[in-house]
Amino acid sequence: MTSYSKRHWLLRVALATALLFNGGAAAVAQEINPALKELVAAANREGAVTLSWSQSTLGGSQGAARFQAAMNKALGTNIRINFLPGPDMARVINQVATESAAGQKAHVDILLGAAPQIAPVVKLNFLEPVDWAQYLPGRITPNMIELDGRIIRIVTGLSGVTYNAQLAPMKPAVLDDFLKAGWKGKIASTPYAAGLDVLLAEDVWGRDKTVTYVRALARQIAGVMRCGETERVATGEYLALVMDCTGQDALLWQEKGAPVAQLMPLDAAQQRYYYFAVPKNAQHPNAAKLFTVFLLTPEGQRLAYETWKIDLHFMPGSKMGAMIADYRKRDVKFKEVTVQWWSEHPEIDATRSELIKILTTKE
Amino acid sequence: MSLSSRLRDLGEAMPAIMLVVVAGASVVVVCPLAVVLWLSWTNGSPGDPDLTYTARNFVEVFSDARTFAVLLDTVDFSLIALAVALAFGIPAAWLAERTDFPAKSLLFTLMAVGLLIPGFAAAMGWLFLLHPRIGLLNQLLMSSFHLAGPPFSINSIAGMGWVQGLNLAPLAFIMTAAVFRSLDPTLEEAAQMHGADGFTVLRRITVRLAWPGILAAAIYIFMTAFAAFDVPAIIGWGNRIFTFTTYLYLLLNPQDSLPRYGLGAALSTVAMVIAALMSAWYGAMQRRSRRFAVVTGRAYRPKVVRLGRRRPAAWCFVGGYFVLGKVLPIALLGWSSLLPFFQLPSARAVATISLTHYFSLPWELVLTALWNTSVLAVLTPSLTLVLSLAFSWIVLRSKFPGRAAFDFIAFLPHAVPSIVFGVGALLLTLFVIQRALPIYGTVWILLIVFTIARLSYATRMTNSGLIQIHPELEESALISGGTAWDAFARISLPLLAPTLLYAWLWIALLIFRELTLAVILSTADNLTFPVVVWSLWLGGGLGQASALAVVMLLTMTPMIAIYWLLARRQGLLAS
Repeated sequence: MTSYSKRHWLLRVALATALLFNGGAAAVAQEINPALKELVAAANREGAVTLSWSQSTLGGSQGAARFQAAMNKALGTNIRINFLPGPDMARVINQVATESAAGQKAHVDILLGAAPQIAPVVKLNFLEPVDWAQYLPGRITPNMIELDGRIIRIVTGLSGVTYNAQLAPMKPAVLDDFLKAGWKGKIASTPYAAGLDVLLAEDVWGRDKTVTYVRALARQIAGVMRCGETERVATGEYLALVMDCTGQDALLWQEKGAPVAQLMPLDAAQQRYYYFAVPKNAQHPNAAKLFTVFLLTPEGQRLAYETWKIDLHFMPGSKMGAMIADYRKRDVKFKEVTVQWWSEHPEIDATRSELIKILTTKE
Repeated sequence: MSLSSRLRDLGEAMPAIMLVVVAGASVVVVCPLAVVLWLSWTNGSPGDPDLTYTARNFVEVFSDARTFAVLLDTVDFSLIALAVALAFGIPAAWLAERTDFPAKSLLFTLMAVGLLIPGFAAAMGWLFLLHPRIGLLNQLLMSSFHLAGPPFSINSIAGMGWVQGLNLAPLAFIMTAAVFRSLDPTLEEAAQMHGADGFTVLRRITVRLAWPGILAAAIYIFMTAFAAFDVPAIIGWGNRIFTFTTYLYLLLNPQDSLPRYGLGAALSTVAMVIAALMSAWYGAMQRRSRRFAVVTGRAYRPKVVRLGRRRPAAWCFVGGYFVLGKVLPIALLGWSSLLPFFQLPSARAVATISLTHYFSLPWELVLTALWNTSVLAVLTPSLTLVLSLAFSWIVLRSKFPGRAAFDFIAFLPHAVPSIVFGVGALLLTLFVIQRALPIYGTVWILLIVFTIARLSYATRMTNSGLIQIHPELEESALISGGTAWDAFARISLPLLAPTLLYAWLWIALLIFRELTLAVILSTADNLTFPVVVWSLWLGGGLGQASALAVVMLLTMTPMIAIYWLLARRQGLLAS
């Protein structure tokens, strides 16, 4: 037996064992299919994958180390994850798009973003279409894939408001509550109008109502912060973030003893997806694909929840699925925000810049 | 041909080699600025076949009221920083140079070291100290005096100016100390003999004599504040207060579209014009200040003012500056690094103290960044000084026509905000020379831009060093049969060695804390230490960012100690 085939025999055994514990024997038979085996070998040859997102996303640098260990153990690979605590998702995506236009290699191998970051750059045609289903048939299903495989859903987030439950002047219920005097000068919004941009859609609030609200909100806010900066809410620097991206950070900070909670506003509840995409100019495209596939395995989803308190809600055993079901029982109606939905609402991009300018300009 | 004759030929060719080096370096300095100027008149992405020429970028920049608001805020910020820097720097310089203050050496040491403490670390500390809601001092004052609201807010132009001013006070000190050192004491003595009291002498003679020098220092400090990035980024960004540099960064990294390089370039040209005007004024002031330099010669000793009973007040002033400017913010940074999330000191907070943030730092990344920074801290001063020597030799020793132009080019990085060079280099390597020289996203692009940024300082050092070595020494070597290289390497270079060593260390330390250029040009492959701190801060890891800033300060300590020893040995820290 050559060392190559020996390694793959060992890999098969390791993967089978790992998946046996997580997904059952039926899944194993599917998941060590030739396509995945080939991807594993190609990824192993590349030897590394470079990722960049905030420290609060998927556990940041510590999460990256855990994913590296878990992925290598489960798939028998020896892939190093180079993690860079990064700027916001839009900046990373825009930078890679620029690098692609300039004929440069991408500085990261995977793009992470939600509809607001991905939809505007889709037309630039720099994302690689991937036949994701071939790697985990049965587990990766068509409802996870958009834009012919150029993007794939990895987790579900629920946008609402993150607030400091101890210092809040009142218990909020709807977005209008944050326009009350008690919050003035004590709250923040994001510099990219997270969550508020969705309200621009004609089938949500529409332009006029949203712009009016955001103008009023801009007079209330003391500053702007990124979604990943929930520590600022925990410390009391800001009493609330209106609106947040996933709100799951609140759960992470609760574990650290911080009095942080999330409000799911009844008038603006949103269920959004976070996507992975592999740029055509990635330096390690196979390792990027393999990491994506691993994230969608039961072990990957479990780690996603452990590090980010978030997973893909329609996966079997999803904790987000249970949470969403619970909200629905309480009559919360979520607007499902996908890249497809975003693209069907050009009115959002037409006014989004205006919202951003309102929020980031101090009067 | 034998090896010795080849070496001799090479030695004879030194002037030509130096000219080529200087000409090449000049092209490298000018290219980023040329690219910025070019792109400011274009529409579309560089490299795009549909690129068109237009004035649209300027129209858009100047039709946006926000541009003027940002420029106005930047001027306000710079003026406040200047006022604070001078308020602390000038009296400290006067104490060090013109009084019998007993701890002059300590004062010089602390001021020089203070300049090396990264501005972003102090800014982070001040946020924890004077934030309107979580600021320690505000909370203490509110609870002690039962105040309804916070008495201070760091989240303002005034707050940012205060922090920047404290950071720049050592610069004001160093620059004005030189002015006080060269004042003619006989004019003051004459005034006293005619019955003028101490305050009148200070007001009518000392200040007036020092005024041109102080004004030149003020212009320099104002320009430095105008181009500052770290304090506005740490304090202003989240509070929607933008200055020139952070607004330029925002244009290059928009949230709702691809980077708008044309707009960024147009805004950069505005900064270049402002910088050119300020530089011209600075040059005029410097020339004017020389008219007052009536004192030269070895026997000169400035008259020492006896502090007497004012000595405790002098100690309080100096101590107050160091507590406010360095000790308090760094202490707060240390406190923040030990808590799971920032809390005011209390029994509950103390119970949560741990080293978790230190242990949870992305150490692999930190070590990579430390390696990159160390490489840059070694190579940048080395390359800068080699180039500076070549520039100085061509300008001061050669007879090449038009050599003064090289001195002007070497001074450009001082006049133009360094972020503009960063933007230019980014565009150049990303779109123009990416095929010929693929250095985008590498440490090498940082090396080149860091070198450009420090060229002005280094050439001023090598110019002044070379001026003090009489050309007759080199001429003697040539007459004795040596080559131009022999004369340079065996006479000038050994005499310049102390100056070069001092400048090398100073540049190395500044590279260690450099954030502005590194942020503009950073990717996953060329991260530096300050960029990792900034990334952690920006990514919401306030505790981790604080911990890493503390680690960074600790890492710099041995280097600062070496610098201190060296500078002390050269007599640069003692008055």
